[in-house]
Amino acid sequence: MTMATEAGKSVHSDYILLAGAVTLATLGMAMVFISSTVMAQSQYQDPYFFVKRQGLYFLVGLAAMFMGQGVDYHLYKRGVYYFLLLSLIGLVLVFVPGIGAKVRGAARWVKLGPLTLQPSEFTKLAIVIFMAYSLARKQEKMKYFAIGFLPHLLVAGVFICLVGLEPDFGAALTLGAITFIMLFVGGTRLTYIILAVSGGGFMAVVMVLRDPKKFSRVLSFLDPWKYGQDVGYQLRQSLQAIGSGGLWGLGPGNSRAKLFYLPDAHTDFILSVFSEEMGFLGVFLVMALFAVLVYRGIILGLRAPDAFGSYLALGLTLLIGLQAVINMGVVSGILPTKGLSLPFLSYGGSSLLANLLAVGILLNISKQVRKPGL
Amino acid sequence: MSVKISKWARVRVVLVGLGLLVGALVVCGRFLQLQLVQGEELRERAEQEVWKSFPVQPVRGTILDCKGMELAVSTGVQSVVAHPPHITNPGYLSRELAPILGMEAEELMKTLTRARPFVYVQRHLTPEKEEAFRAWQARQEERRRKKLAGGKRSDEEWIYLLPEGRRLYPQQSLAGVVLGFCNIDEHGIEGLEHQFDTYLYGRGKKVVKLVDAQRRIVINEEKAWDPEVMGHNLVLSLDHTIQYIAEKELERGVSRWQAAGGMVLVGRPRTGEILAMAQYPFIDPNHYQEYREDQRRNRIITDAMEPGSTFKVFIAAAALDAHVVKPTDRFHCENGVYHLGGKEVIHDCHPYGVLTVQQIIQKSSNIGAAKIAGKLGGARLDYYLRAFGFGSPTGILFPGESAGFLKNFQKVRSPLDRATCAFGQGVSVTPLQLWMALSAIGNRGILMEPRLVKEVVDANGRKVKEYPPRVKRRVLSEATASQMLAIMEMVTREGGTARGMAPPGFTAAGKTGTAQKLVGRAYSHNKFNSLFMGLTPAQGPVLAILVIIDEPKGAVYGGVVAAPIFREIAAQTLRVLGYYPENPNPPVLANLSALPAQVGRQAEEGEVKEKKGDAGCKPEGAGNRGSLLQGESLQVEAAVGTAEHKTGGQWSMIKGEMKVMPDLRGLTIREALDVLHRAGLRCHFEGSGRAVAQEPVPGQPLGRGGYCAVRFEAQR
Repeated sequence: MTMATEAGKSVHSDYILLAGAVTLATLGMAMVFISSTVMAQSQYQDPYFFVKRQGLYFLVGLAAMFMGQGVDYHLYKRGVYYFLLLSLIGLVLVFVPGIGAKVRGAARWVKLGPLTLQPSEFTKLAIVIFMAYSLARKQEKMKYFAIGFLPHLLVAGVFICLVGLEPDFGAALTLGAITFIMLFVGGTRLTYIILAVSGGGFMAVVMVLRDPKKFSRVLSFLDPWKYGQDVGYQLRQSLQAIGSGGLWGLGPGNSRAKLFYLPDAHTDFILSVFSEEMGFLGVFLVMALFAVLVYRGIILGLRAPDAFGSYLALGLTLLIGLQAVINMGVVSGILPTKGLSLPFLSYGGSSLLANLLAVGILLNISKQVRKPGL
Repeated sequence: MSVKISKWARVRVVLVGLGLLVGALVVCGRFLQLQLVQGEELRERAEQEVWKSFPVQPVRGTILDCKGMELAVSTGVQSVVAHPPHITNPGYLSRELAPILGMEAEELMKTLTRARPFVYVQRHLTPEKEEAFRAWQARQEERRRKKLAGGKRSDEEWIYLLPEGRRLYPQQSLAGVVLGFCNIDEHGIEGLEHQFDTYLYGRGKKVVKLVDAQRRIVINEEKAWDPEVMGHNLVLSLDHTIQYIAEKELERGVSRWQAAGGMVLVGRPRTGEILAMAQYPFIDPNHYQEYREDQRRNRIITDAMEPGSTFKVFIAAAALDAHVVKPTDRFHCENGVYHLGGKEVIHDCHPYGVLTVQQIIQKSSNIGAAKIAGKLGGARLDYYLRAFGFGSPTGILFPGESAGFLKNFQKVRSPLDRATCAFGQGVSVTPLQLWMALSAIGNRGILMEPRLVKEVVDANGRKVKEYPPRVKRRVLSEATASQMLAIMEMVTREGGTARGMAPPGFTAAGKTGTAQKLVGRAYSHNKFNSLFMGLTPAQGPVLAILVIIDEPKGAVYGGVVAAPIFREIAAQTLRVLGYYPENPNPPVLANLSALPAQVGRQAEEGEVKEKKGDAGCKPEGAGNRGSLLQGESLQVEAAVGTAEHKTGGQWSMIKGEMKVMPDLRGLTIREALDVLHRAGLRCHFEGSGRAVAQEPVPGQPLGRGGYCAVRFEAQR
């Protein structure tokens, strides 16, 4: 650890990564503005209600990013269990009346004075750090079931269950996916993973079949036009919005979906509004920016000075890239509807804060890569 | 700890990256498919959802008089409407709104819970209520803001104001019965409003508006002034000033004689144009519900009545035209009692001995008229009366016209029927028919079509449809018509039944009538209609007026009751139309030799004429005559020296050959030259300014190629 820091500090952090992240976050501000003003005016008599808050978190997030860039990532190893404990407390607090805030039947928020935080977003960070720490430590022993697989499954399982209880299936799914992918990269036997995933898949099918609400959600995903008036309404609106955009889009500000037609237009479905106004070219730009982030992240995973750095870089990249792909899939109707935000772009302070912090950590890893020029 | 990850782990990292790449490519492909392949289809689906078409209320056209005065207009007014299926708490709304709308809460509750998608809560709010409602809406908005109710549309938004049109008659009862009225949906249900509803109503259209998911309008493409939805305007021949005169005098006459009602019809005989049509009691179409059905009806057109003695005119005209009698033919009037074989007896009010045809009309002898009818014979009687337009609708563009009733005198054998018909019993005519027939006499024997509507113009002022004066047929020869005018003039002269009833300064040709009203199947002995119909001036009339007073008390004779009303209306109307009495002194037939003594007075007269010009009352008679000529291709002779020629317009309009020396006084050199040139006269002018003297004197017969000298003087 000391060797790495002393001997081969790269001269600069990854500016391309930084530029990509800041561009995405700035674009996100514009998109929140575009998609939320009508709703904010109607609901809060202040068209800038969401923009102001998002702007505040953006500034805090930038600070967090620079902090993350400055703090040696090896320090996180020491705090890994504290992070897990804090996340656990946060995830429990959301259920405590008076502290937890319930919106539309989902207890996902913790009130801290005027601010509300979403512990699940920070839980993702904590899990990624924990996994990276654990994988890096166990290395060769990963192939053993009792050492390499079970403990991670148990620890992650607790958090996934807590998040699922809120309920926040989107976050639970992302957490699960990241855990398994990191286990896979860390060297766990593929058999265990396949068994666990198919077992989880079977349970998911059973749950879906037993719960009519989720069942109808799957149905609506399969045929949004047939169920377009009720369960498939949101997806139908999203598809209409995306399709209306065409190649060039309707132009900034001309979205119709945001006139209360599309629910969650400024959060989970913000990309629909964006693609309606900016067209395929706009969507392509967003995808390209994410691709840049993911590419730099994967490169970082390969070149990090040590195993912890590699796993950490991979986990954080997944946190951003995987979630973005899933969100885009949901919005365009190739994955079933889940409450899952689009990193950097969707309205949501905790998510933005967590993602910018993740970028900051990635930047710090990049600073410690020995080879110049990456 | 600082060991790097293994080779296989690196491979797996790359695999993860590739996995993400595959995911990204799939998503990218999906967006390509949605936006470029299915884009059009999806956009159409979306547009169907967000662009909703809304109806735009048509705006009803205006009704104008011939001077452009608005008689019926539409204004915007607000109505409260609601969508009951969306209202979750009607009880609360009812309690809130009941005092604002001045309704009972229960009643309001009933409206708001009706099983309809759309209801009118209250239509055509008064401005006070509209203001109160808007204030209530503002209060609700404030309350909602505090509650932060969010994007959902609340109850209050499902009850709102809807703009509608409301018909207003700014002149109130003026010509009310002619205009008719509209129901609350602005559809004409009576009068001209009904007749021309398709023109007036306008065309509603649909306008697409961008709405949000709560059906609130975001983009509104409705225009504040849209000629596309506006109905056409109706221009009437009525003149509001003359209509006012007619109504005022009618009302005065009715109250003077404590009558049950009355009617007046004023118009131009030459064109069949109606200038005023009044019926008492008046109705105010703004409050049409307050009147009985028979008061709302325009009885001048819809109801037939017995014409009484006025009918004698048409019998006499027929007999003259058929050359059965001459004006000077004498009839023995049996000293007031005429046994018509059997039991039937005809009486005269006053017993007369031998009367000429002219005197029979002048004194209104029933027996004389009956004898003329007898001499005329059934076939010709029938022919002429139908030619005058009796027994068939006049074709006026007005709902519910009655045809009146005329027996088939060709087939009727009974001499009594012919005889009673001669003084207007056993026939029924509408006042309009009577007026049209009267006008035919005043129009050189030509029956016109009635003209109440001049034209229909659209909102941009373009002509949509025109109703020019139209000739129906020739009824009498010109000579007969002229003879009849002379005979009828005697009615207003000394010894006539309407002595002194010509408007001051003018002559008038008329006929009185006193018709017993039919009560059941018998004639009433105390209920009469007093009639007077008249043309003025007697030669070349410009006005035809019919006055009917229903059940006058105290006096019943047309000459006493109706004729004074005629005189008042005629006198005032002539002035409105720009006709002024001739100099009360006999016309000065100035000789050039006698000039010095005359100059002063002549100049004065010139000044009077100048004033007339200044007042801007350009007589319209000439123009109308022009259009008439096209219809009938008559040669108008310059009726020189008559009232018509002096008052009746521009010289340049007079065509054809002069027969007598025209009156040049008051003309400029250019005008005089023009007139004399037409007359084919050589001339000698002296001085400048306006003509003050001439040789030969006006009215002197001329041959073509005569010689004339005129003296002009500058005006003082």
